[in-house]
Amino acid sequence: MLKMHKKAQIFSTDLIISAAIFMILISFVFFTFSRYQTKIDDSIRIQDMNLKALQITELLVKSSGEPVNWEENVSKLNIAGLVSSDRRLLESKITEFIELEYNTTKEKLKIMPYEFYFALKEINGGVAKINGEEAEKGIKPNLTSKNVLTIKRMVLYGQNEKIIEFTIWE
Amino acid sequence: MLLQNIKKAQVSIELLSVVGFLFLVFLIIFGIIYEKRIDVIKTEDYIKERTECIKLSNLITEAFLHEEGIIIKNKINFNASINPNINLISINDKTEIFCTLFISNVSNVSLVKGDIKIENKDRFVDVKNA
Repeated sequence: MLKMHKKAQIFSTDLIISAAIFMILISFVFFTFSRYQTKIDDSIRIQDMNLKALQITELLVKSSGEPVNWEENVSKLNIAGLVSSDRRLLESKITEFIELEYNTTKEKLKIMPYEFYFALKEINGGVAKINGEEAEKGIKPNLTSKNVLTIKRMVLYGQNEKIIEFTIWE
Repeated sequence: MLLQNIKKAQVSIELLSVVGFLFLVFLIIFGIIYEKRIDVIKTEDYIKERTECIKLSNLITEAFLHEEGIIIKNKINFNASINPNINLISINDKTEIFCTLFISNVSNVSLVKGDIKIENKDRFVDVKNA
């Protein structure tokens, strides 16, 4: 006698399709999870850069530094400040600051692990000149730089208004 | 005697395997979601503590930048340690939660959560619990 057995099949087309949809959904959920973690990490790093850029700029344009006459003996520099009083630039301080070695400046300003670019600019956007030299220092960010943050502050240099531009980047 | 042909519903091995497999998959998913949830809570705590650290760092710089004698009163929600030797503020004595201290002439102090007083004394920033 011939008997026809119909057995339940696990690997039916329906099961394969549903399993595939399920796997796609799960992958999407995990991708979203990992994306959020990356976003949070980025946000924390940008916050750190923001803190550094803002505080360093404030110290540069609002304090005379520590010690007050650090420009007379740069080896004693503790905190870099470029003004004689609130936002009034002192030429000797800015000249010494620009002449400081890049890595020493990074260390003194506590910029690590980021890079920086500093410039004293005219109102029209051009780099100002002090004693015939362009008043800028550091490394300009390029197209491959990941995060770039620039802080600008109006200052007085002599009787002229200028802009201090401080960029921190990675 | 009446013979009855009783046909019982049968749970096949295949069905049991599928149910078992699905149960295992869901168990793994719930495990991973639980782990992620813990990660999110940890990140939230980290952000809260770091925000507090940044606030303290900002207040110290602010006190330094203002005229001598200025007193800033504020409140911190976590314990904090100020270490001017390495220019760092750490929160709850955790090595992973820290922020930069831009001023070196500041008190080397451990603060307990609560009210704090920050004072600029002759270009030295004195920080203590109020």
